[in-house]
Amino acid sequence: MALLLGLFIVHLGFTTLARLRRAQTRLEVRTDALVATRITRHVVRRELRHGRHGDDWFVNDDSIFLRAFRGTALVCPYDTLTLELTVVFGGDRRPDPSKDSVLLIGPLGSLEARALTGVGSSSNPCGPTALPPPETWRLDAAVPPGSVVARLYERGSYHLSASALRYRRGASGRQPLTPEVWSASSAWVRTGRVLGLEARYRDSEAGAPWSAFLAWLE
Amino acid sequence: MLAFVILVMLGLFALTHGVLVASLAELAGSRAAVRELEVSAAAEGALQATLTTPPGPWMDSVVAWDARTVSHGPAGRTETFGIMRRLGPESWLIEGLAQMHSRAPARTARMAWSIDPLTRVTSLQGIVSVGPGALASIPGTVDTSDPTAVVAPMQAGDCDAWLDALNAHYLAHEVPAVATLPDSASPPGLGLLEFADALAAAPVAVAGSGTPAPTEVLGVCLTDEPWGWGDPVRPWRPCGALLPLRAASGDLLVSGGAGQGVLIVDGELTLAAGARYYGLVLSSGALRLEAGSVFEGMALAQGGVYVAEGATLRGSACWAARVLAAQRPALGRFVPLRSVGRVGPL
Repeated sequence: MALLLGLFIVHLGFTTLARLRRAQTRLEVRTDALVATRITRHVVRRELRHGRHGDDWFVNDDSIFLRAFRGTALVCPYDTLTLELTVVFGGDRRPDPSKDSVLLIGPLGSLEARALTGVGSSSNPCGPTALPPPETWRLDAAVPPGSVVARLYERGSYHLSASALRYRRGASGRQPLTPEVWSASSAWVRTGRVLGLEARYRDSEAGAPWSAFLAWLE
Repeated sequence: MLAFVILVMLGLFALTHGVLVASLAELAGSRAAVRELEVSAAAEGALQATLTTPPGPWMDSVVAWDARTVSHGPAGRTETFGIMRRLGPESWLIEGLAQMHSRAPARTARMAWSIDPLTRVTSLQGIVSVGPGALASIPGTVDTSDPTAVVAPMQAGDCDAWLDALNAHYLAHEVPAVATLPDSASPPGLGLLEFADALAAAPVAVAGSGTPAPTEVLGVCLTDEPWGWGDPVRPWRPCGALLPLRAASGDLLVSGGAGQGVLIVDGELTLAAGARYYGLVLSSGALRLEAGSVFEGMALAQGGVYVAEGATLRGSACWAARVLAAQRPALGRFVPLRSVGRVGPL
């Protein structure tokens, strides 16, 4: 009798452990899927909202090619050399002449792109003191007269490939940004004036297919 | 047996703890996502509210300006700021910023355009700018000799705010009587303010024909009278300072009388004998000055210009700048730059 009771307790213990382990695994899969979904939605929406469809980004199959804006500079009225700009800059990271370009905006919305060839400090005051200290940007071609804003960007692309969202800067490799949870049928979808994400998970326990708004196609 | 039970209990405890930690992490992630959505929406709301802020003369004297509001949403207290930063005479960076619980703020911005009277006037290439191919027939008198002269009925001091800049501009750039508008497809606008939007911005419309005359009641000027276009020849009277914006959705005939301000006509504008107008005219049709009429100011007339013998057209940048400045609240609203979209990150 004692042996039977002991075996029953052992069986009960192992069964409970196994079920709890399965529940934990399912939760991990589900968490990974939600994390991947949130990251994808946040990253891609943030990137696309800073640009205009057709001008700054476009979709091709599993890829979104874009100008990935990394900062914004207010142009100060001090320029004496045509290849230089004095700016006050703020953004996600510092300008890097090895990979960055500059989109110059005129007062009526004209756009001109230039390559950034150098960055230095500037002693000229510019704007309210609350702004960051001004700096000098050197460009590869003349600055269009009247430019008021310079947007710093790098060329990049986002891909839904090999089960994850991946980012590729220029011609470098595709780096994963999310856990590998997507099935091959996940895709960017264009419906009318809307770009969305149709997310299907590789593991059925990750949840039902899910779709999300990403950007306006206008 | 006891050891086995203890081991099972430890295993259960470890697994339960793992599940709990994973659940809490997921809960924190969900909350963060909700907060991110809420502050993004609040920042967007602050941006839109600032973009639709009625413009005013104070805009000329600021480099940066912000308005702070506090709201309470499902995720907590949110502070929002709408920030206007002047980048150039007509260029603005409008920013919406929202912050929750002292965490990193969400920011969104757009570049916008808002009319600057001086810049708009000095950008006009001629006293009358006409559409490509439109007829310019000028048997009458056209005076382009001094667009910054302050002559009666304009009072000394009426042009002081712009006089130095206008003098500097017209010393370097001679202004012809007639110039050609660059865009042939659409009626003339003012910078990025399109003709239709300028027409819609007018608080009072006129139609057909009429004679402008000031309307006073008990010493007060009635500003909403359709044909009350100020009192240019008696500037000391109650309506003397009224520089109204009037619009007509069709041809307009001014039969005598005197008026001042900004006149927007979706059709042909005719000043008949005895009519006098001082200010700025935008017309999708032709501007016709018949014998005995006087126009002082500047005009954009898509359909051409006709100045009959005995009519007088005197170019006056002072009148144009003065009436545009007076209509800043109606015409100076922010126009987001369509080619740029949202600007960021900041």
